[in-house]
Amino acid sequence: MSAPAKPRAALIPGEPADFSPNLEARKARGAKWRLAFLGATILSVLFLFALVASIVNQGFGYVLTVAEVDPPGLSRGGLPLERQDSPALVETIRDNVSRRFFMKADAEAPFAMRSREELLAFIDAEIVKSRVVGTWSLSDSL
Amino acid sequence: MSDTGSYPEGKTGTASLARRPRPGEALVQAFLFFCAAVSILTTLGIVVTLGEESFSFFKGVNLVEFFTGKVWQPAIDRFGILPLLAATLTTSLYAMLVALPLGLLVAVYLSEYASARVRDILKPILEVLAGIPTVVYGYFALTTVTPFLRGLIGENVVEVYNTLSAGLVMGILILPLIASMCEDALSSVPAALREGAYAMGATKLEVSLRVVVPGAFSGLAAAFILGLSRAVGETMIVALAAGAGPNLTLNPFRSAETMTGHIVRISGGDLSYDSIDYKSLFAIAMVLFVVTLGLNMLSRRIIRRYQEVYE
Repeated sequence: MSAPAKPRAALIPGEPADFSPNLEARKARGAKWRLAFLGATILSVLFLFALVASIVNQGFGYVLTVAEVDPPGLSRGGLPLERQDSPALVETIRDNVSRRFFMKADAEAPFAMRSREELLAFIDAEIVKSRVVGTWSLSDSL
Repeated sequence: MSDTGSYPEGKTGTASLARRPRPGEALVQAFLFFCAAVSILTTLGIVVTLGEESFSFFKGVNLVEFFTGKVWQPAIDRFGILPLLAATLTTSLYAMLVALPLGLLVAVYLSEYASARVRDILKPILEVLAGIPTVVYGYFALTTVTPFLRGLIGENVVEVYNTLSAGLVMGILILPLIASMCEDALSSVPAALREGAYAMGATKLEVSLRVVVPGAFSGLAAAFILGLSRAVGETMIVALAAGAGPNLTLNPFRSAETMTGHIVRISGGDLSYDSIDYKSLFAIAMVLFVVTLGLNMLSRRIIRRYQEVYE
């Protein structure tokens, strides 16, 4: 139970002392609306941060890939695929595809003319044949 | 016209008041005129193209049937725009139900309650996040908001593509725009009006809602209408999340295709040039153009009608 309100002193001589009996109610209403204004602002910022969080959550995370040929098994002279130069990559391709397929692909675009990145992409697409079998969001991955 | 007098340095001579040729200024003026002319001519070009193709479309389709028909199926020559129009208006309505109250509350908080430091932090955050591409908002609607709604209301009730999800996310997209424009309008109300109200014993809430908001009414109304205009013209969110099939329904949990969504879907396909399907896109675009033009004109009219000029 709250204590009885103290009577206010008159601001203007001759006027009644408690000139504004609903001042507390007006202030209370103001405080409630202030909370509503602040709440709306926080909610708006949260909406927008939820959007950013959703982008980050779906943009990162684990990806499970399965390869038909294990890339470490394609190392040549102890060098993994990523460190082989172009002639070594061409030899790797020659060793792992049929002779007919090699000739066909070479006829389309000579391997000797292809860049190292193109050769690696060819190995990934035609020999390693990795495919994504599962993805997890950042929150799942963590 | 010339006048005889002396130069300030004491040199004697004739000071001419005639306009001196200034080539640099004339060049700048010509360039600015060119820029203005380009924008006007571009608009005119759009109107002419839309008008031409639409006219050609309406030679084969009855205008009354177009505006009153309830089925949009170009394959069987049914061109009733109501399903597309209804979906556009309902998604815009949901967007405004989110953006309008929240945007106004945020604007009042930033303008009247927040300290300068808080305002300097929050306003740029809201404005920067508003610059996120709308396609991202579309995926947000599809991958986050729709699953949330389906979990909350029921997977049997809420379809994977639904207008509510698209509308809500569109509201989030428009929210910073409305909040920022409303805040500018509220901040432009002179401090003297606030001080006068405080001197009369008004509380901060009373000053905000009874003095500042009415004083900025024209700016607020313009912000709302421009927000609505933005919602009507929004494309990627509805194309991704609202659905890909014209469907006359007011059920927010069902899929429906908006005018912009339909234009995106159909124009991406193998549509033969000069076919009635192709021309129908221009007719839809014309309706969209007229709706947004009407909203912008209404906004300008409201500004002129209710604008308060302070000294």
